[in-house]
Amino acid sequence: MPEAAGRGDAQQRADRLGIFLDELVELERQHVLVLTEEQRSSIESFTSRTLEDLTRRYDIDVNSSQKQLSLGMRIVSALGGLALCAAVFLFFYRFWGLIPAAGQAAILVVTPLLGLAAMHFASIRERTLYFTGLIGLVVFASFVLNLVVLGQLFNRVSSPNAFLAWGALALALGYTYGLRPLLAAGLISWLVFFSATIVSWSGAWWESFFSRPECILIGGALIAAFPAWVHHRKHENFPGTYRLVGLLSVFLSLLALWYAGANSFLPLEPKSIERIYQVIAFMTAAFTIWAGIKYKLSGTVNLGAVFFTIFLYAKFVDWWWDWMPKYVFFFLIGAIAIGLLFAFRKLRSAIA
Amino acid sequence: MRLGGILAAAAVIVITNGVVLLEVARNRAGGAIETIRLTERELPLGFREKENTGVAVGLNWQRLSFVANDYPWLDRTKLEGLGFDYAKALRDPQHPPLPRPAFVALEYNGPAWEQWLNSAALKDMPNDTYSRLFPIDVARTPEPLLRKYPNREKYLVVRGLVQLSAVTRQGQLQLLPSISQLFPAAIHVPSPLSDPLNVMVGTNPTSPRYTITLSYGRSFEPWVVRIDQPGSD
Repeated sequence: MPEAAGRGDAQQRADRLGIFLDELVELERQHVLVLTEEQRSSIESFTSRTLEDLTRRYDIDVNSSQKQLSLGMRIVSALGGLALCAAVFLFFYRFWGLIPAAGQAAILVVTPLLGLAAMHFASIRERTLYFTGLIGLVVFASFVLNLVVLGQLFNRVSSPNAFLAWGALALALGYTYGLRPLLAAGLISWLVFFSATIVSWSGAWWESFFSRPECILIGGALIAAFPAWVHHRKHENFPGTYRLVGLLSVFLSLLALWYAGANSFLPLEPKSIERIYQVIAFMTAAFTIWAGIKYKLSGTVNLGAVFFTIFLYAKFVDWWWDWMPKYVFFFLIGAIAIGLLFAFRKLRSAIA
Repeated sequence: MRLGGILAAAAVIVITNGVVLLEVARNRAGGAIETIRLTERELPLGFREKENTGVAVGLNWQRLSFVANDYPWLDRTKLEGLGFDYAKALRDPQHPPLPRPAFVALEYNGPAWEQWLNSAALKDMPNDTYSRLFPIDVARTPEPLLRKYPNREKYLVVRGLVQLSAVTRQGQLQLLPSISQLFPAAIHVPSPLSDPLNVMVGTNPTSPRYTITLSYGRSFEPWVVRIDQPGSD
């Protein structure tokens, strides 16, 4: 899950060296290239020294078994983080009724601060940041619990400002340690704050921002476009997280407006609004695929293709579901899926 | 570099908590604006998960459910005073306006309760567990309501949410206002005040088992002052 700054580059270099050695063996086997003993020994010594150095500094994976194990560790780390977050919430609720208000408030404030200290300590002891990332999730959950329960203790009326604070903490930790889950948590928190604030400026209750998906759409677009303005030289994986969170928000908002034009700010007939957003949805998905191909962003291409397909199927359901026999409908869907496979194969070749 | 990031994160936690606690202190500074005694009918115990030891009561208010419009006094002038565009809501019923925050005046055990009791639908029904709190007025700010309803034992001004929906009745389009929520929905009862309520959680009352003295501060956020049980005076 977590990666230190520069670890991605180190892993890429190790992968390139591995491929180079494999190809060298193959070229020698086919007598395309014949190295002298001295040359071979020099190459082997250089690659082994470089891999050792990279492993020592960045704890990278040098073979496929290690890579699979690392993936397992990332999954365990994420699941463990979520489980510990649930444990923090449930533990507090189990005992908070037995503690006086001052004690409750003190525990709520001190817990995330202790978590920060533990996070710093763990980050000094490890290079891969698995434990640091796990503790980071617990710190974020503790701070969410902190503000939610403090609000309950003193019977405060909820406000979107809590999301501003949660986002600030998650982004500070995400950028400090290069942790993508915390970056995503921070972006989602700020997206909620942004959308809720726009709705509350109109005089409406902030929690009804879900009923105006355009606010989420604008916020999502800003998040997706952010890496184009600000370059992430140190955290090379962060732009992908920005695009994932931003584009998912944009596409889900478009899907909401696709079916509920009455929830739009636009002063038009709901049906007309729905049609407008259906056209925008297709154009956005197509643009996402185009931009992904142009800038060689495979994740962006995939996300655009998935939503293009979802929008296409949604439209088919709108057009055909009611009047067409169901077997014909599914036959057509299957046929179109085959057509899409051909189209995506061409796209794949274009990317290559 | 990393230490700087950790210190920035710690600053976020400390500053946010500082702001929250300052706002809590500001709410209670200078004493309560309103103090009222309500029974379990108006402040019933909230649902509690098995592994939760906290105690909270909910502010339970009554609707005039025997009339088509629960809030006949919530007219066009009052709704426009809250910021609703009444004419637009009538003209464009397909775009219902979003709920708007408001201050709500609640009447306790007064004429609205009497009217409700005498309604045909409720005659001869047991009524000693129903809430006697009725919304009777709304405003964008609390001051006009506090001035208009000065009896603090009978009236309570709280924060709430007003909603406006369009319905068609007998072929005619009508706007139906409602009070969808009062804030805070749950009122925390701190320890040790919560001790007598702890044993009551999960049991159904046949008559009110406690009276809570509730105070509201400058930000209209309440706190429990005391809890009395019948026979404890």
